[in-house]
Amino acid sequence: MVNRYFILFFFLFYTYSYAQNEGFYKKLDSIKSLRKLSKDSNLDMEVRLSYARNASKLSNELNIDSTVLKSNRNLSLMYLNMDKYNLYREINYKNLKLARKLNDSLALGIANHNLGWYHHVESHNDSSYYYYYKAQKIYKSLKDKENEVSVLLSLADIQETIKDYIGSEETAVQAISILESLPQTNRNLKTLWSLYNLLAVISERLNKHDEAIEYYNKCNEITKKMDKSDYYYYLTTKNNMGFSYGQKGELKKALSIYKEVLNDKQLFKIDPELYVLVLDNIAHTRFLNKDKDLEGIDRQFKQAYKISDSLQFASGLMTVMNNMSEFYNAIGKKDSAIILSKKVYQLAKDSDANDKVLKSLMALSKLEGGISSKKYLKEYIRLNDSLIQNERAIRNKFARVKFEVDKIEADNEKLARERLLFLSIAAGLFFSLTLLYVVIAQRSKNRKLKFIQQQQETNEEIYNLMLAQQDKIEEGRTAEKKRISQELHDGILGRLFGTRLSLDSLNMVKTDEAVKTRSQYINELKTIETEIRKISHDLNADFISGSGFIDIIKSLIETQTKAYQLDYTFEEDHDINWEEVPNKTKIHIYRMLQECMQNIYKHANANRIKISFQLKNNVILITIEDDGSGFNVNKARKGIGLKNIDSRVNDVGGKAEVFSKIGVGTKIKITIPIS
Amino acid sequence: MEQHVKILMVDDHPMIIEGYQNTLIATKKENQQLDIDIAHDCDLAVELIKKSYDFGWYDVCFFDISLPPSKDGLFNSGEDLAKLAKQYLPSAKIIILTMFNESFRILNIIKEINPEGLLIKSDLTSSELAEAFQHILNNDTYYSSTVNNFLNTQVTSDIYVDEINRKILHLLSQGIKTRSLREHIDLSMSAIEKRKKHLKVLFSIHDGKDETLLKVARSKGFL
Repeated sequence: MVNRYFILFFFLFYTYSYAQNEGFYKKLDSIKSLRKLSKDSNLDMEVRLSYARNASKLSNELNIDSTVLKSNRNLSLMYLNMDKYNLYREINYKNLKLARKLNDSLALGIANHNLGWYHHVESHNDSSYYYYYKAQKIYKSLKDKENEVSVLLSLADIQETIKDYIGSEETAVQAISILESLPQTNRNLKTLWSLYNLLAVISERLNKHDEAIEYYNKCNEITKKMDKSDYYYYLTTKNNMGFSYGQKGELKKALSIYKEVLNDKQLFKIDPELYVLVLDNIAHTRFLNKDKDLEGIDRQFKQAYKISDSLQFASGLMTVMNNMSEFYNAIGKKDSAIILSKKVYQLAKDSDANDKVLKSLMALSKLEGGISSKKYLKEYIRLNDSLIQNERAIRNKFARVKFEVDKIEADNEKLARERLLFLSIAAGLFFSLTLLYVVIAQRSKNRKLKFIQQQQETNEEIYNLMLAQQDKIEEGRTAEKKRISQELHDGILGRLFGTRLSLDSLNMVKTDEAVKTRSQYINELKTIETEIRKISHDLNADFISGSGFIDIIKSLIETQTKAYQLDYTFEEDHDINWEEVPNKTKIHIYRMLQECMQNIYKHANANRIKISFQLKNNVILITIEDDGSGFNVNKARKGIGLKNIDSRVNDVGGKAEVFSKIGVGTKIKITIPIS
Repeated sequence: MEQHVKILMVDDHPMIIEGYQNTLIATKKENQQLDIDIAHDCDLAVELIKKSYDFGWYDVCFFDISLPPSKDGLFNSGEDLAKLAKQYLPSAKIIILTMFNESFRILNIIKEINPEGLLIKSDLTSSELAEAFQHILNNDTYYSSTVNNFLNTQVTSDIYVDEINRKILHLLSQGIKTRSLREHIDLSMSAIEKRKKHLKVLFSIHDGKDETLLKVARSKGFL
């Protein structure tokens, strides 16, 4: 009945757990397929997003961190593709936590990278720098060079933004040196281009025009290795190079480069914004080059203005307007110049383009006279100061971030080192303890074996002793037999023979004297009878029966007490039939007596001992008593001697009791049943 | 014609000598006159033998084999006395009476002394004693029927057992252990073992047991 319930229970349990398992695997499978669907570029973005969201939701239900992380990373990519930056940020914060929990370095790097990117886009330069810096460290430790380089590029970009030109340059050079060890894939080429472009821009900012041009030449070389579809890079490089020549003062060279770009048939198609910039650059350079075709210049400016306005290309528009304002001022159209500059000011303020604001303020202060000029100049100075301060603060922050991250890293390293040290010490300790344990165990085992061997040897000795005793008894018996035979032969037989012979000879004589003599001989026969009876009695009393073991015991007690200088009394019980007692028991009794006497000698300081054997109800009772110093039975730890006695007694199914009183003596009672 | 017979009887049991005397006196012939000296130990016997050399020789000597030894230790048994008698009284008839009916002792006695009479006490009756006495007086030899039977089997058996081996058999039959044999035989342990092995081959003992050896030896009259 119980069994059946058990089986039923087991069955239920099994199906339940099976169902649970099945549900689990079903969910896992659906998560995988949802993730796959969300990556299907044939589907609508919204549909893909909902798949990714569902995958993430299901993963959360399963509550397996690694799966959640995977699904979240997928979802984060979807958010990125769909420009949902806030959600993108949130999901990456979550992933950061999960990655940290799972100790998944790559996921941690990616989450940091993503968050850095988000803050970069949002122009939170400090936060961005923080995450990028962390990501870079992680990628570096993972030896993920491509990602490291891409993070380094972003870092350099941020540094450039806050005008930490030297820091930015350093970062860029670091990135380039890493890139050189990587294969020249298109992606790597683009990164390399971006880095050199950045270096050129920095050089330009520092007014090192020749250096800038050199970097642009490098960029130009790189663009030649790129795919045809990346023609934009080439055009941009050219435009930039033209700008550098312009800045350097080589206006003609600049113009010829600009024209080359502008005449490129693909320019407008690839990047209309670039077209605007190039057009603006040509117009501006022509103006600087004192081109007499003012109308042509004006036309080009207006065209650039128109296109950028229609493209809603704000920064382009502002650049164009700035240049136009400069141009109009130069050709005497001061009003138009002021209007344009004011427009730029407004636009720049609206779009937080600080450099443009500064530029327009400077232009306005020059254009307008008197108080207005002063007002613009004041604002320029205030803004400039605050910007410089801001940049300085951010630079300080960067230094702090760098320091902190490095410190954490160093701490971690130190921690790891300490952990390693601790681990090795623990392992060493464990090893030596194990060794110690093994050695001790081995030694005690050896000791035990030795003890057993010794025990066996002594047992053998006793056994031999008993056998020898048996032999002695046998010899004694033979001697006794011989004696009796001799007695019969020499005494009785002779007399019997003599009597027979005499009676025989008297047989024939019938005198009275003969009758008398015969009766004499018959009396003689009577005497012989008594003698035979005596011998028969001698034979019957088994003179040595069973005395073997007790003799051994006696001789043991005698020699031992003599050696220990003790007086002794020994009482044996003749009712004990030692022949029936098994040899094992006898050996144990012998050894226990030996042990007791040894103990008495060693510890008791006694003068007398009393040993007695008694038989009561088929149980042998052995008492060993001494008049020594005694001990407290309850307190004393059992020594080897007492333990031995215990184990021996147990072996034959007996019992040992110890009674002791300090100053009076000790009494050991051993009872052994004879089966 | 009066026949005067001078007799020496040596036995440590007075009862036995009394028996001999009773028998001989009761069964003697009319014309025989018996002059009997008795001795209960070796010392007296030796003295009487030596004295008789001067005061008339004994015609017949009765010797028991097992006797208490003489004080000087030179005479330990009837055999020794018989040898002395042969030396001092060459014409005396020697009659050995013994309780032993072991072949080993008997053969030894015949070989050493060659007595005129050899009687085994256990099968001796008064008539046989009387008969033996008369036979020997008539210069005959008389052996107990047991002795004769034994000698006959010895002749028919083709097994030869030398004296030492006989002694070994005899000692073993008395229950003496092999390892104690050295106390009785002046031989090394290995020599004794070798001899025992030889005996077992001789009597075709296959199970190697001492008991079987003794049983077969006894059945063949060697014991």
